[in-house]
Amino acid sequence: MTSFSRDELLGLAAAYATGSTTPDELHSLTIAMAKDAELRTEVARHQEVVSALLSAHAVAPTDLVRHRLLTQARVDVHRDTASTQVLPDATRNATATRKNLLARYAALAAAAVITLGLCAEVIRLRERIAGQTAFAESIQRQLATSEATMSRLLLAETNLTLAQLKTADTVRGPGVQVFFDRQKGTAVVHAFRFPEAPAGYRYQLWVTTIGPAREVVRFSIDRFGHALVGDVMMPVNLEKEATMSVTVEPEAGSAQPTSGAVVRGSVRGT
Amino acid sequence: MPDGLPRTSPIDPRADLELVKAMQVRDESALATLYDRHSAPILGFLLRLIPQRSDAESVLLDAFLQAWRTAERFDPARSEVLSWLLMMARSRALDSLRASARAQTLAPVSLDDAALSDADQMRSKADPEQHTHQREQDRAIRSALRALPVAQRDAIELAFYLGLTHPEIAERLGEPLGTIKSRIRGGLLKLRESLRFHNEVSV
Repeated sequence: MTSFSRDELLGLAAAYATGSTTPDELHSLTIAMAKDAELRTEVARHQEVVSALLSAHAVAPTDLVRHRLLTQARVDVHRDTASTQVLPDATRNATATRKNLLARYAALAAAAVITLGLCAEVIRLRERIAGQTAFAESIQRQLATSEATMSRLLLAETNLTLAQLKTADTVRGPGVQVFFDRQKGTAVVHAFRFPEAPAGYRYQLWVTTIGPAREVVRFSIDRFGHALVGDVMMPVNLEKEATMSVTVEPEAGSAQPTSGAVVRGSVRGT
Repeated sequence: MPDGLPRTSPIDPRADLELVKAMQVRDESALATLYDRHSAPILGFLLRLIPQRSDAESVLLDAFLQAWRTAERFDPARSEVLSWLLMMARSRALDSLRASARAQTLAPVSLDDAALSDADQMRSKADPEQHTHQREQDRAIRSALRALPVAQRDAIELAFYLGLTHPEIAERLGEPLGTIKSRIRGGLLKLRESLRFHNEVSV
Protein backbone atom coordinates (compact mmCIF):
# COMPACT_ATOMS: atom_id res chain seq x y z
CA MET A 1 0.00 0.00 0.00
CA THR A 2 1.46 3.37 -1.07
CA SER A 3 1.57 6.13 1.53
CA PHE A 4 0.89 9.69 0.44
CA SER A 5 2.06 12.96 1.92
CA ARG A 6 -0.56 15.53 2.87
CA ASP A 7 0.32 17.68 -0.16
CA GLU A 8 -0.08 14.67 -2.41
CA LEU A 9 -3.48 13.93 -0.87
CA LEU A 10 -4.58 17.52 -1.45
CA GLY A 11 -3.42 17.12 -5.04
CA LEU A 12 -5.53 13.98 -5.36
CA ALA A 13 -8.74 15.75 -4.32
CA ALA A 14 -9.50 16.57 -7.96
CA ALA A 15 -9.02 12.94 -8.98
CA TYR A 16 -11.37 11.91 -6.18
CA ALA A 17 -14.05 14.31 -7.38
CA THR A 18 -13.82 13.09 -10.99
CA GLY A 19 -13.80 9.43 -9.87
CA SER A 20 -10.37 8.78 -11.34
CA THR A 21 -8.37 7.61 -8.36
CA THR A 22 -6.47 4.33 -8.19
CA PRO A 23 -7.60 1.90 -5.44
CA ASP A 24 -4.53 2.88 -3.38
CA GLU A 25 -5.29 6.58 -3.71
CA LEU A 26 -8.95 6.06 -2.88
CA HIS A 27 -8.12 4.08 0.23
CA SER A 28 -5.66 6.68 1.51
CA LEU A 29 -8.00 9.58 0.72
CA THR A 30 -10.93 7.91 2.48
CA ILE A 31 -8.91 7.45 5.66
CA ALA A 32 -7.41 10.94 5.51
CA MET A 33 -10.71 12.71 4.82
CA ALA A 34 -12.23 11.24 7.98
CA LYS A 35 -9.89 13.38 10.08
CA ASP A 36 -8.79 16.25 7.81
CA ALA A 37 -11.34 19.05 7.41
CA GLU A 38 -9.21 20.97 4.90
CA LEU A 39 -8.95 17.93 2.66
CA ARG A 40 -12.72 17.47 2.84
CA THR A 41 -13.20 21.11 1.87
CA GLU A 42 -10.82 20.73 -1.06
CA VAL A 43 -12.72 17.64 -2.27
CA ALA A 44 -16.05 19.42 -1.81
CA ARG A 45 -14.80 22.34 -3.95
CA HIS A 46 -14.02 20.03 -6.84
CA GLN A 47 -17.23 18.02 -6.37
CA GLU A 48 -19.18 21.25 -6.68
CA VAL A 49 -17.71 21.78 -10.16
CA VAL A 50 -18.34 18.16 -11.14
CA SER A 51 -22.00 18.48 -10.05
CA ALA A 52 -22.33 21.68 -12.08
CA LEU A 53 -20.88 19.93 -15.14
CA LEU A 54 -23.36 17.10 -14.75
CA SER A 55 -26.27 19.41 -14.24
CA ALA A 56 -25.44 21.45 -17.33
CA HIS A 57 -25.65 18.38 -19.54
CA ALA A 58 -28.76 16.72 -18.06
CA VAL A 59 -30.94 14.82 -20.54
CA ALA A 60 -34.30 13.45 -19.39
CA PRO A 61 -34.64 9.71 -20.09
CA THR A 62 -37.83 8.30 -21.61
CA ASP A 63 -40.56 7.10 -19.22
CA LEU A 64 -40.04 3.52 -20.32
CA VAL A 65 -36.65 3.36 -18.61
CA ARG A 66 -38.26 4.32 -15.31
CA HIS A 67 -41.07 1.82 -15.86
CA ARG A 68 -38.65 -1.00 -16.59
CA LEU A 69 -36.48 -0.15 -13.60
CA LEU A 70 -39.39 -0.14 -11.16
CA THR A 71 -40.94 -3.27 -12.70
CA GLN A 72 -37.68 -5.13 -12.22
CA ALA A 73 -37.36 -3.80 -8.67
CA ARG A 74 -40.82 -5.13 -7.88
CA VAL A 75 -39.94 -8.52 -9.34
CA ASP A 76 -36.88 -8.58 -7.04
CA VAL A 77 -38.98 -7.68 -3.99
CA HIS A 78 -41.57 -10.37 -4.73
CA ARG A 79 -38.88 -12.97 -5.27
CA ASP A 80 -37.14 -12.05 -2.01
CA THR A 81 -40.43 -12.12 -0.11
CA ALA A 82 -41.40 -15.51 -1.51
CA SER A 83 -38.06 -17.05 -0.62
CA THR A 84 -38.06 -15.84 2.99
CA GLN A 85 -41.63 -16.62 4.03
CA VAL A 86 -41.58 -20.42 4.30
CA LEU A 87 -38.99 -21.02 7.00
CA PRO A 88 -40.17 -18.50 9.66
CA ASP A 89 -43.78 -19.72 9.35
CA ALA A 90 -42.76 -23.34 9.78
CA THR A 91 -40.57 -22.46 12.76
CA ARG A 92 -43.35 -20.45 14.41
CA ASN A 93 -45.86 -23.28 13.92
CA ALA A 94 -43.52 -25.86 15.39
CA THR A 95 -42.87 -23.69 18.43
CA ALA A 96 -46.56 -23.08 18.97
CA THR A 97 -47.33 -26.78 18.73
CA ARG A 98 -44.70 -27.67 21.30
CA LYS A 99 -45.95 -25.03 23.69
CA ASN A 100 -49.56 -26.03 23.64
CA LEU A 101 -50.36 -29.70 23.60
CA LEU A 102 -53.99 -29.03 24.41
CA ALA A 103 -54.34 -27.07 21.27
CA ARG A 104 -52.89 -30.02 19.43
CA TYR A 105 -55.57 -32.37 20.80
CA ALA A 106 -58.20 -29.85 19.95
CA ALA A 107 -56.86 -29.74 16.47
CA LEU A 108 -57.12 -33.52 16.21
CA ALA A 109 -60.74 -33.35 17.32
CA ALA A 110 -61.39 -30.65 14.81
CA ALA A 111 -59.84 -32.89 12.17
CA ALA A 112 -62.72 -35.32 12.66
CA VAL A 113 -65.15 -32.53 11.85
CA ILE A 114 -63.09 -31.47 8.91
CA THR A 115 -63.27 -34.98 7.54
CA LEU A 116 -66.93 -34.36 6.89
CA GLY A 117 -65.98 -31.58 4.58
CA LEU A 118 -63.54 -33.74 2.69
CA CYS A 119 -66.18 -35.04 0.32
CA ALA A 120 -66.82 -31.51 -0.88
CA GLU A 121 -63.10 -30.99 -1.14
CA VAL A 122 -62.78 -34.10 -3.30
CA ILE A 123 -65.29 -32.65 -5.72
CA ARG A 124 -63.38 -29.40 -5.87
CA LEU A 125 -60.12 -31.29 -6.39
CA ARG A 126 -61.63 -33.18 -9.30
CA GLU A 127 -62.53 -29.88 -10.90
CA ARG A 128 -59.01 -28.63 -10.33
CA ILE A 129 -57.56 -31.79 -11.82
CA ALA A 130 -59.67 -31.24 -14.92
CA GLY A 131 -58.25 -27.72 -15.14
CA GLN A 132 -54.72 -28.99 -14.63
CA THR A 133 -55.23 -31.62 -17.32
CA ALA A 134 -56.23 -28.91 -19.79
CA PHE A 135 -53.14 -26.95 -18.76
CA ALA A 136 -50.93 -30.03 -19.19
CA GLU A 137 -52.39 -30.53 -22.67
CA SER A 138 -51.53 -26.95 -23.58
CA ILE A 139 -47.99 -27.51 -22.29
CA GLN A 140 -47.80 -30.67 -24.40
CA ARG A 141 -48.79 -28.66 -27.45
CA GLN A 142 -46.10 -26.13 -26.63
CA LEU A 143 -43.55 -28.91 -26.25
CA ALA A 144 -44.55 -30.34 -29.62
CA THR A 145 -43.98 -26.91 -31.18
CA SER A 146 -40.63 -26.66 -29.44
CA GLU A 147 -39.65 -30.12 -30.64
CA ALA A 148 -40.54 -29.22 -34.22
CA THR A 149 -38.46 -26.07 -33.86
CA MET A 150 -35.57 -28.08 -32.49
CA SER A 151 -35.82 -30.47 -35.45
CA ARG A 152 -35.62 -27.52 -37.83
CA LEU A 153 -32.54 -26.29 -36.00
CA LEU A 154 -30.88 -29.70 -36.14
CA LEU A 155 -31.58 -30.00 -39.86
CA ALA A 156 -29.95 -26.63 -40.42
CA GLU A 157 -27.03 -27.54 -38.16
CA THR A 158 -24.15 -26.87 -40.55
CA ASN A 159 -25.62 -23.56 -41.69
CA LEU A 160 -26.55 -22.34 -38.24
CA THR A 161 -25.29 -19.22 -36.50
CA LEU A 162 -26.32 -18.49 -32.92
CA ALA A 163 -26.62 -14.91 -31.71
CA GLN A 164 -27.05 -14.37 -27.97
CA LEU A 165 -28.58 -11.11 -26.79
CA LYS A 166 -28.31 -10.36 -23.10
CA THR A 167 -27.93 -7.77 -20.39
CA ALA A 168 -25.01 -7.37 -18.02
CA ASP A 169 -26.95 -9.51 -15.53
CA THR A 170 -26.70 -12.85 -17.33
CA VAL A 171 -28.10 -14.80 -14.36
CA ARG A 172 -31.34 -12.95 -13.67
CA GLY A 173 -31.70 -10.65 -16.65
CA PRO A 174 -33.64 -11.35 -19.82
CA GLY A 175 -32.00 -12.95 -22.84
CA VAL A 176 -32.67 -13.83 -26.46
CA GLN A 177 -31.17 -16.56 -28.62
CA VAL A 178 -31.43 -16.09 -32.37
CA PHE A 179 -30.71 -19.26 -34.38
CA PHE A 180 -29.96 -18.03 -37.88
CA ASP A 181 -30.05 -20.45 -40.83
CA ARG A 182 -27.61 -18.85 -43.27
CA GLN A 183 -28.73 -20.98 -46.19
CA LYS A 184 -32.43 -20.19 -45.93
CA GLY A 185 -32.04 -16.72 -44.48
CA THR A 186 -34.52 -17.57 -41.72
CA ALA A 187 -34.22 -17.59 -37.96
CA VAL A 188 -35.77 -19.03 -34.82
CA VAL A 189 -36.07 -16.51 -32.01
CA HIS A 190 -36.14 -17.69 -28.41
CA ALA A 191 -36.71 -15.09 -25.67
CA PHE A 192 -36.64 -15.83 -21.94
CA ARG A 193 -36.87 -14.12 -18.50
CA PHE A 194 -38.52 -11.06 -20.02
CA PRO A 195 -40.59 -8.78 -17.77
CA GLU A 196 -44.15 -8.14 -18.86
CA ALA A 197 -44.31 -5.28 -21.36
CA PRO A 198 -46.54 -2.31 -20.38
CA ALA A 199 -50.14 -2.42 -21.61
CA GLY A 200 -50.29 -1.51 -25.30
CA TYR A 201 -46.62 -2.41 -25.90
CA ARG A 202 -44.77 -5.41 -27.33
CA TYR A 203 -41.17 -6.35 -27.77
CA GLN A 204 -39.53 -5.72 -31.14
CA LEU A 205 -36.31 -7.38 -32.36
CA TRP A 206 -33.97 -5.30 -34.54
CA VAL A 207 -30.88 -5.96 -36.60
CA THR A 208 -28.41 -3.26 -37.59
CA THR A 209 -25.59 -3.70 -40.11
CA ILE A 210 -24.89 -0.45 -41.87
CA GLY A 211 -27.41 2.37 -41.63
CA PRO A 212 -30.65 2.35 -39.67
CA ALA A 213 -31.98 -0.59 -37.64
CA ARG A 214 -34.26 -3.07 -39.47
CA GLU A 215 -37.16 -4.85 -37.82
CA VAL A 216 -36.80 -8.62 -37.54
CA VAL A 217 -39.92 -9.60 -35.64
CA ARG A 218 -42.34 -8.42 -32.95
CA PHE A 219 -43.25 -10.74 -30.12
CA SER A 220 -45.24 -11.00 -26.90
CA ILE A 221 -44.18 -13.13 -23.98
CA ASP A 222 -46.18 -15.76 -22.11
CA ARG A 223 -46.78 -15.65 -18.36
CA PHE A 224 -43.38 -17.22 -17.77
CA GLY A 225 -41.60 -14.37 -19.58
CA HIS A 226 -40.92 -16.65 -22.54
CA ALA A 227 -41.44 -16.53 -26.33
CA LEU A 228 -40.48 -18.82 -29.20
CA VAL A 229 -40.95 -17.62 -32.78
CA GLY A 230 -39.99 -19.85 -35.72
CA ASP A 231 -39.43 -19.24 -39.44
CA VAL A 232 -38.60 -15.57 -39.06
CA MET A 233 -37.31 -14.03 -42.29
CA MET A 234 -34.14 -12.04 -41.67
CA PRO A 235 -34.40 -8.65 -43.39
CA VAL A 236 -30.67 -8.41 -44.10
CA ASN A 237 -27.85 -10.64 -45.16
CA LEU A 238 -25.66 -11.29 -42.14
CA GLU A 239 -22.38 -11.77 -43.96
CA LYS A 240 -20.85 -8.87 -42.11
CA GLU A 241 -21.00 -8.25 -38.39
CA ALA A 242 -24.38 -7.05 -37.23
CA THR A 243 -25.85 -5.80 -33.98
CA MET A 244 -29.16 -7.13 -32.71
CA SER A 245 -31.30 -5.65 -29.97
CA VAL A 246 -34.78 -5.86 -28.47
CA THR A 247 -36.74 -2.77 -27.49
CA VAL A 248 -40.20 -2.13 -26.08
CA GLU A 249 -42.42 -0.58 -28.74
CA PRO A 250 -46.11 0.27 -29.20
CA GLU A 251 -48.32 -2.71 -30.14
CA ALA A 252 -48.38 -1.74 -33.83
CA GLY A 253 -44.58 -1.63 -33.98
CA SER A 254 -42.18 1.19 -34.74
CA ALA A 255 -40.17 2.03 -37.83
CA GLN A 256 -37.08 2.64 -35.67
CA PRO A 257 -36.29 1.87 -32.00
CA THR A 258 -37.89 4.44 -29.71
CA SER A 259 -36.68 3.09 -26.39
CA GLY A 260 -33.53 1.69 -24.86
CA ALA A 261 -32.47 -1.86 -25.68
CA VAL A 262 -33.74 -4.48 -23.21
CA VAL A 263 -31.04 -6.87 -24.48
CA ARG A 264 -28.46 -6.63 -27.22
CA GLY A 265 -25.66 -8.59 -28.82
CA SER A 266 -23.66 -8.95 -31.98
CA VAL A 267 -23.59 -11.67 -34.66
CA ARG A 268 -21.52 -12.57 -37.68
CA GLY A 269 -23.31 -14.69 -40.25
CA THR A 270 -20.35 -16.46 -41.78
CA MET B 1 -47.40 7.09 -15.90
CA PRO B 2 -46.91 3.44 -16.73
CA ASP B 3 -45.69 2.19 -13.36
CA GLY B 4 -48.13 4.09 -11.17
CA LEU B 5 -45.52 5.44 -8.75
CA PRO B 6 -45.55 9.21 -8.31
CA ARG B 7 -42.55 11.29 -9.24
CA THR B 8 -41.52 12.30 -5.80
CA SER B 9 -38.16 13.96 -6.18
CA PRO B 10 -39.21 17.64 -6.19
CA ILE B 11 -40.98 17.30 -2.85
CA ASP B 12 -39.36 14.29 -1.23
CA PRO B 13 -37.26 15.77 1.57
CA ARG B 14 -35.15 12.66 2.06
CA ALA B 15 -31.45 13.12 1.39
CA ASP B 16 -29.66 10.79 -0.98
CA LEU B 17 -28.11 8.82 1.84
CA GLU B 18 -31.50 8.21 3.46
CA LEU B 19 -32.83 7.01 0.13
CA VAL B 20 -30.02 4.48 -0.23
CA LYS B 21 -30.64 3.27 3.33
CA ALA B 22 -34.32 2.84 2.45
CA MET B 23 -33.33 0.91 -0.67
CA GLN B 24 -31.36 -1.46 1.53
CA VAL B 25 -34.69 -2.53 3.09
CA ARG B 26 -36.33 -2.79 -0.34
CA ASP B 27 -38.23 0.52 -0.41
CA GLU B 28 -39.18 0.91 -4.08
CA SER B 29 -40.32 4.52 -3.61
CA ALA B 30 -36.78 5.41 -2.49
CA LEU B 31 -35.41 3.95 -5.70
CA ALA B 32 -38.01 5.92 -7.68
CA THR B 33 -37.00 9.16 -5.95
CA LEU B 34 -33.29 8.57 -6.40
CA TYR B 35 -33.90 7.80 -10.07
CA ASP B 36 -36.03 10.92 -10.60
CA ARG B 37 -33.38 13.03 -8.91
CA HIS B 38 -30.30 11.78 -10.71
CA SER B 39 -31.28 9.95 -13.91
CA ALA B 40 -31.17 13.04 -16.15
CA PRO B 41 -27.67 14.23 -15.17
CA ILE B 42 -26.37 10.66 -15.39
CA LEU B 43 -27.96 10.09 -18.80
CA GLY B 44 -26.38 13.36 -19.96
CA PHE B 45 -23.07 12.03 -18.67
CA LEU B 46 -23.55 8.68 -20.45
CA LEU B 47 -24.46 10.34 -23.74
CA ARG B 48 -20.99 11.91 -23.81
CA LEU B 49 -19.61 8.36 -23.83
CA ILE B 50 -22.30 6.52 -25.80
CA PRO B 51 -23.88 8.81 -28.38
CA GLN B 52 -26.60 6.24 -29.33
CA ARG B 53 -29.42 7.25 -27.00
CA SER B 54 -31.07 3.82 -26.78
CA ASP B 55 -27.75 2.25 -25.72
CA ALA B 56 -27.12 5.00 -23.19
CA GLU B 57 -30.59 4.47 -21.69
CA SER B 58 -29.90 0.73 -21.40
CA VAL B 59 -26.75 1.48 -19.47
CA LEU B 60 -28.65 3.94 -17.29
CA LEU B 61 -31.19 1.22 -16.46
CA ASP B 62 -28.42 -1.29 -15.70
CA ALA B 63 -26.65 1.18 -13.43
CA PHE B 64 -29.76 1.95 -11.36
CA LEU B 65 -30.60 -1.77 -11.16
CA GLN B 66 -27.11 -2.38 -9.87
CA ALA B 67 -27.60 0.38 -7.31
CA TRP B 68 -30.88 -1.24 -6.20
CA ARG B 69 -29.35 -4.70 -5.91
CA THR B 70 -26.13 -3.64 -4.20
CA ALA B 71 -27.47 -0.81 -2.02
CA GLU B 72 -26.43 -2.65 1.13
CA ARG B 73 -22.81 -2.41 0.01
CA PHE B 74 -22.85 1.38 -0.32
CA ASP B 75 -20.30 2.94 2.03
CA PRO B 76 -20.95 6.65 2.73
CA ALA B 77 -17.39 6.99 4.02
CA ARG B 78 -16.00 6.21 0.57
CA SER B 79 -18.15 8.35 -1.70
CA GLU B 80 -21.23 10.46 -2.08
CA VAL B 81 -24.32 8.79 -3.50
CA LEU B 82 -24.06 10.64 -6.82
CA SER B 83 -20.39 9.66 -7.19
CA TRP B 84 -21.35 6.05 -6.46
CA LEU B 85 -24.05 6.13 -9.13
CA LEU B 86 -21.68 7.75 -11.60
CA MET B 87 -19.02 5.17 -10.94
CA MET B 88 -21.46 2.34 -11.71
CA ALA B 89 -22.80 4.13 -14.78
CA ARG B 90 -19.32 4.75 -16.13
CA SER B 91 -18.26 1.17 -15.46
CA ARG B 92 -21.35 -0.21 -17.22
CA ALA B 93 -20.84 2.16 -20.13
CA LEU B 94 -17.25 1.05 -20.61
CA ASP B 95 -18.38 -2.62 -20.45
CA SER B 96 -20.99 -1.88 -23.06
CA LEU B 97 -18.50 -0.14 -25.34
CA ARG B 98 -16.02 -2.97 -24.97
CA ALA B 99 -18.76 -5.48 -25.79
CA SER B 100 -19.59 -3.63 -28.96
CA ALA B 101 -15.88 -3.53 -29.91
CA ARG B 102 -15.78 0.22 -29.92
CA ALA B 103 -13.32 0.51 -27.06
CA GLN B 104 -10.37 0.86 -29.41
CA THR B 105 -11.73 4.12 -30.73
CA LEU B 106 -13.14 5.22 -27.40
CA ALA B 107 -13.05 8.94 -26.91
CA PRO B 108 -15.51 11.03 -24.94
CA VAL B 109 -17.65 13.56 -26.72
CA SER B 110 -16.42 17.00 -25.78
CA LEU B 111 -17.79 18.52 -22.61
CA ASP B 112 -18.96 21.69 -24.25
CA ASP B 113 -20.80 20.45 -27.33
CA ALA B 114 -23.98 18.96 -25.92
CA ALA B 115 -27.38 20.40 -26.68
CA LEU B 116 -29.27 22.03 -23.85
CA SER B 117 -32.72 21.22 -25.13
CA ASP B 118 -33.59 18.24 -22.91
CA ALA B 119 -32.28 19.74 -19.73
CA ASP B 120 -34.04 22.96 -20.59
CA GLN B 121 -37.39 21.35 -21.23
CA MET B 122 -37.21 19.27 -18.10
CA ARG B 123 -36.48 22.21 -15.85
CA SER B 124 -38.89 24.64 -17.45
CA LYS B 125 -41.72 22.23 -16.64
CA ALA B 126 -40.60 21.79 -13.04
CA ASP B 127 -39.97 25.40 -11.98
CA PRO B 128 -39.80 28.29 -14.48
CA GLU B 129 -37.86 30.64 -12.17
CA GLN B 130 -35.36 28.02 -11.18
CA HIS B 131 -35.20 27.09 -14.86
CA THR B 132 -34.11 30.56 -15.91
CA HIS B 133 -31.42 30.65 -13.23
CA GLN B 134 -30.20 27.18 -14.11
CA ARG B 135 -30.12 28.04 -17.78
CA GLU B 136 -27.84 30.97 -17.11
CA GLN B 137 -25.72 28.73 -14.92
CA ASP B 138 -25.48 26.14 -17.71
CA ARG B 139 -24.41 28.80 -20.16
CA ALA B 140 -21.79 29.97 -17.70
CA ILE B 141 -20.44 26.45 -17.36
CA ARG B 142 -20.23 26.03 -21.12
CA SER B 143 -18.58 29.35 -21.53
CA ALA B 144 -16.09 28.49 -18.80
CA LEU B 145 -15.37 25.16 -20.45
CA ARG B 146 -14.71 26.80 -23.80
CA ALA B 147 -12.35 29.21 -22.12
CA LEU B 148 -10.17 26.41 -20.73
CA PRO B 149 -6.96 25.62 -22.62
CA VAL B 150 -7.43 22.50 -24.79
CA ALA B 151 -4.80 20.55 -22.85
CA GLN B 152 -6.62 21.16 -19.57
CA ARG B 153 -9.98 20.28 -21.04
CA ASP B 154 -8.66 17.05 -22.60
CA ALA B 155 -7.22 15.92 -19.28
CA ILE B 156 -10.47 16.67 -17.42
CA GLU B 157 -12.52 14.84 -20.02
CA LEU B 158 -10.38 11.72 -19.80
CA ALA B 159 -10.63 11.75 -16.00
CA PHE B 160 -14.30 12.65 -15.75
CA TYR B 161 -15.83 10.59 -18.54
CA LEU B 162 -13.49 7.64 -18.91
CA GLY B 163 -12.50 7.49 -15.24
CA LEU B 164 -8.84 7.14 -16.22
CA THR B 165 -6.41 7.54 -13.34
CA HIS B 166 -3.81 10.27 -13.50
CA PRO B 167 -1.01 7.84 -14.48
CA GLU B 168 -3.23 6.42 -17.25
CA ILE B 169 -3.99 9.90 -18.58
CA ALA B 170 -0.29 10.77 -18.49
CA GLU B 171 0.48 7.65 -20.50
CA ARG B 172 -2.28 8.27 -23.02
CA LEU B 173 -1.34 11.91 -23.58
CA GLY B 174 2.40 11.26 -23.37
CA GLU B 175 2.89 13.87 -20.66
CA PRO B 176 4.57 13.75 -17.23
CA LEU B 177 2.32 12.70 -14.35
CA GLY B 178 2.88 15.95 -12.47
CA THR B 179 1.75 17.96 -15.48
CA ILE B 180 -1.48 15.99 -15.72
CA LYS B 181 -2.24 16.45 -12.03
CA SER B 182 -1.70 20.19 -12.31
CA ARG B 183 -3.83 20.45 -15.44
CA ILE B 184 -6.81 18.68 -13.92
CA ARG B 185 -6.65 20.47 -10.61
CA GLY B 186 -6.02 23.82 -12.32
CA GLY B 187 -8.85 23.25 -14.79
CA LEU B 188 -11.37 22.41 -12.09
CA LEU B 189 -10.32 25.42 -10.03
CA LYS B 190 -10.68 27.71 -13.06
CA LEU B 191 -14.15 26.34 -13.71
CA ARG B 192 -15.04 26.92 -10.10
CA GLU B 193 -13.76 30.48 -10.18
CA SER B 194 -15.72 31.18 -13.37
CA LEU B 195 -18.89 29.84 -11.80
CA ARG B 196 -18.36 31.84 -8.63
CA PHE B 197 -17.77 34.99 -10.64
CA HIS B 198 -20.93 34.31 -12.63
CA ASN B 199 -22.97 33.78 -9.46
CA GLU B 200 -21.68 36.99 -7.87
CA VAL B 201 -22.43 39.00 -11.00
CA SER B 202 -25.92 37.56 -11.42
CA VAL B 203 -26.76 38.26 -7.75
